[in-house]
Amino acid sequence: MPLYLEALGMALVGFGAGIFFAYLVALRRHWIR
Amino acid sequence: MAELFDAYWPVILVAVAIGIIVGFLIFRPRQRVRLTDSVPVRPHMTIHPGETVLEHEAEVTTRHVIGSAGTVPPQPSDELERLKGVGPKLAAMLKAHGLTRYEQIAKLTDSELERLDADLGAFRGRLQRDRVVEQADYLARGDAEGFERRFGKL
Repeated sequence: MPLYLEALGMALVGFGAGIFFAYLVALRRHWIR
Repeated sequence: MAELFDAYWPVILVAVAIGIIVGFLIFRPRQRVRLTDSVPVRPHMTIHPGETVLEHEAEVTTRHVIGSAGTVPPQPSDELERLKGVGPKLAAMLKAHGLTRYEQIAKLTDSELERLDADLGAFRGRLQRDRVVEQADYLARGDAEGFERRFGKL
């Protein structure tokens, strides 16, 4: 597996985790339903 | 898996930070008002019939400042005819726009003045020409002497 693909994959996973975290926070604070 | 994390933790950290920022932008609290035929204007912007724009904005601002609780105690109105260039007719017009006190006139902003002026019909431009706002400022402060020095006898 090429190195840049590995890095890209990790970045994608991190990005997803960040958005998920923001989603959970928004849910808890009732910004969204 | 662990060695991947060991190797790329800075990348992951940055990605998480960016993800949180993007996520916040997507999910941030927003005011959503769906306008329909029965509610064509945002509720706080509805102007009731018989109410002028200035009156409405004055009321909204007042409510904003004092909060929704309580009402504004009625203030005694001033004798607007004392202002040079303001006769009974113009005074009545100003009162109809909710301007009953010198202080209110003194505090008019340029844009409010412009809008008010547009409503004054035959008296258009009078407020600017006779520097009514400046006059009102003197009277609001109770500075009769300064007023007379600049604008003549009261």
